[in-house]
Amino acid sequence: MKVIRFCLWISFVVLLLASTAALIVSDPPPAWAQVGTPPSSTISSSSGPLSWDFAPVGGGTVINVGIQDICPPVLCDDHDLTLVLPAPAATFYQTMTAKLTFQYTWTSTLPTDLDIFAISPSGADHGPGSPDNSSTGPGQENLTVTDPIDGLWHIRSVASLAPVPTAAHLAVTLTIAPRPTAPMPPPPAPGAPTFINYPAPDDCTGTQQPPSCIQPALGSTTASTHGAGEPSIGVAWNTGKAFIQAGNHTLRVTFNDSLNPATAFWEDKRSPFARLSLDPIMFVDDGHFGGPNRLFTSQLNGVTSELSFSDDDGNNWLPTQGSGQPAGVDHQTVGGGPYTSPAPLTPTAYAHGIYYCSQDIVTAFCSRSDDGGLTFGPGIPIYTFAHVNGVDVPIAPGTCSGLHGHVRVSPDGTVYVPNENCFDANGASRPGVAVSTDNGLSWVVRTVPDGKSISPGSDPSVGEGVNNTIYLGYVNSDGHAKIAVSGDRGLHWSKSKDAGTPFGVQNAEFAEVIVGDDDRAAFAFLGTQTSGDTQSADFQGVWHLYVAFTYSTGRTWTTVDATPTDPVQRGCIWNQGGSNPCRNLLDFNDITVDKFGRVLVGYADGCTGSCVTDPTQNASTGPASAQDALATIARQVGGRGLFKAFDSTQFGTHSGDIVGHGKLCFGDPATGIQGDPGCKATN
Amino acid sequence: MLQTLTILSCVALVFASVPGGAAPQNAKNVAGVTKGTVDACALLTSAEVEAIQGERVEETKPSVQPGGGLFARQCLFRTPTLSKSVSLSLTASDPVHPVAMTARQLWQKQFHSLELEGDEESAEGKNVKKLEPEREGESRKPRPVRGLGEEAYWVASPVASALYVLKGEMFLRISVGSTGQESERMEKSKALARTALKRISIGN
Repeated sequence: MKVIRFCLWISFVVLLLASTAALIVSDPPPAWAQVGTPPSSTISSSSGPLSWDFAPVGGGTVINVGIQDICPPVLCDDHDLTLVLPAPAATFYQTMTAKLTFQYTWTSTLPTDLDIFAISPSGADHGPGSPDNSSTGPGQENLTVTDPIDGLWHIRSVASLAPVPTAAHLAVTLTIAPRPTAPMPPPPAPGAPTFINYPAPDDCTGTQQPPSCIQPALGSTTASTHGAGEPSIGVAWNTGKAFIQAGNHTLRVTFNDSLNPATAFWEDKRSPFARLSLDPIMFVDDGHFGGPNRLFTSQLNGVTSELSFSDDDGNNWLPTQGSGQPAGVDHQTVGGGPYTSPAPLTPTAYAHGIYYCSQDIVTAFCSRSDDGGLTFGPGIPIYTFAHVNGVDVPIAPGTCSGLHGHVRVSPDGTVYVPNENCFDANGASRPGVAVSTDNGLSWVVRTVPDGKSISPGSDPSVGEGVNNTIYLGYVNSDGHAKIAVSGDRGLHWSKSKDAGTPFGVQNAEFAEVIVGDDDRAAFAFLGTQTSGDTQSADFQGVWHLYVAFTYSTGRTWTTVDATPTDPVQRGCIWNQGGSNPCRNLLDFNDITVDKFGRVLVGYADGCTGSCVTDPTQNASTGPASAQDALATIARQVGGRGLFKAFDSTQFGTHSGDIVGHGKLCFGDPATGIQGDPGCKATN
Repeated sequence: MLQTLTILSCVALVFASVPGGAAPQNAKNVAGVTKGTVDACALLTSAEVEAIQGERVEETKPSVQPGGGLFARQCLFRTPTLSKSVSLSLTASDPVHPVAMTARQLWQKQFHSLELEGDEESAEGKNVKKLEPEREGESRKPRPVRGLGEEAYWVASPVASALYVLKGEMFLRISVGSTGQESERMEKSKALARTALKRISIGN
């Protein structure tokens, strides 16, 4: 080891000296590229196209680690471009759209890769352009920024591979047009699903008493209802109580269906073994496939991890093996279900296998518990990946990248772990599932053949029907919400359907799937009709929660906007970890079904209070009302549920009509809302 | 390029300096271990697993994750009590389909692209780190383990920790199910790894 370390150190020193020498012997850059004010110009809807020449950049091979943000001399050349819109971006883009297009060209005699970057007034990086490769002779990259914000942009020519200093030319065009309206969604058929949203109340203060507020759990100063990024949801089928995870607080919700609409009573049932959490996961082993309704909460707090469970709706909790252990690499998910045949002999009467899956350093693994989560077997790799340039990537066909979605178990005991980025037999990146048909002892990866991975993207979601048909909901590479169906454990898939089509959804996040009868499924996702880069701080999209239903094994889907008058988020939704302002929602939402087939979606509402009606607010810039993460449940109150046996029973209540006096609200791109009178009161 | 040449020279030097597999003469009981291909289930015997875990091995379950020039050969040594089972996987380059990334290169990317913690003494939480809002960044902290293979790391997880050991162009991963403390799991993993490494040496 000492030899290796010494050699690596020598290599580092040599490389450093070589780099320094390369900088010294390179042609001196133009004076303005090192100091002083860069050249500048202004573009507007009336200015027409602009063009200019960049000074030569390069003189070696550069590993780009954010050079465009610093723009050092020799390696980068800057041009300041002031963008003028007819009105401030926040209001202008309500009705209009714009594209800022860059055509970046150069000529070289040696293999050369130059990159074009556009840094927005808010500091958002756009680029490099496409294609991002090296070429000899004429080279070109194209870059388009959709709905660019007004103000001062830094346009930068950056050397990635340029053996000799290379100049470049840039042509810039700004086009403006009225924002196209998506086709009017068809009116929902009679009995179409409808939802009422139940936001968690704020903490009780002073003399306040529930149900208008929530009493923090004993020992807590808050119920953390505004800290519900990446919430899990579940329903105990024996009692009907719903649970949603808000950080390390397990919130219990009791719906009173004797009233119409039903009221909700919120309680904080935080496990005493759930301390500060960075990776909250909750799971109810509900009665869907015969589970005993055990409630699990798993918390990762960076130093230790806590896994505990409750058999009485969160009143009392027991720690498990997963508690108190120092936590290492993790991105855990907890799930469970029946064993496949032959079922193992289990040491307790607990009928289901409980699975804990997690990211490891080289692999992701799943570990099974045969005693209801008290103890777990060894971690068995489910695929192998590589950490390349700071990103986990699949290494070969049949493997996936590191981060995965939630583990689910079908009635026949097949275990599924979905992943957005798996390699198929041809090495193409596609969404897929790691599948185990032997109770988690061995795994294979199966991909959706017409899906394409999006990066960075959010986790896909898999759901299983009572006869083992599976549905995989995912965000495709084009940003659209897609879902495919398989009747043979992922060996073959139906053609993927775009569930956002009725609303013209151009970008989606947080796919969540639940299945009831084999032919019935619900697919929830956050969607926006705005195209462009959702990771950009400039993104102006307005996000709603959509839920698509199929009653025909995925052949047709009926999609509803569950939040027609109350955006879930304004602006970007950050998928790349860290502490970006747009990461308020964290990594996922969740969906479940109660014993009557009613769908419940647990989500973090990122746009509350004044944000709801103020289009100038944005998650990127705030204020806090646009960066919230309020625990909220969208509860189905009308339409057909996921179990045919309860059709026409109004989810077992036998009161009201098929829409249950819920507000029949569905999206209208022109007005933002359509449906029953009073629909706007649903939030 | 200069850096690449320098590293290659150093790696060659390292290979030259690493002692060859000291294949014992009495390796007759090790089945399935041949040069180039290793049966993960042959790296440990049922008796060896039983000696460590205290339960007989009821089943050995082999599986392979192939492709891309790498083979991850796995074996689950399943005991009647699942939580006492042992999972072993061996990742090696595929000699038939070599590609750009070898097992050693994968090891380097995974373990040396991260900032590692100090030493195994911190495994019981003596070196508790400050909590940060970076989930993955904070938790990706394999801990070096001395005296195993060329390099070894302990990757802690709440329910199923794993020991990784690099030896030549292969690396081993051992995960021991247990209800015990993390330190106990680590010691069991190290003991099993030492036994398995001898078989790998024989195979090479």
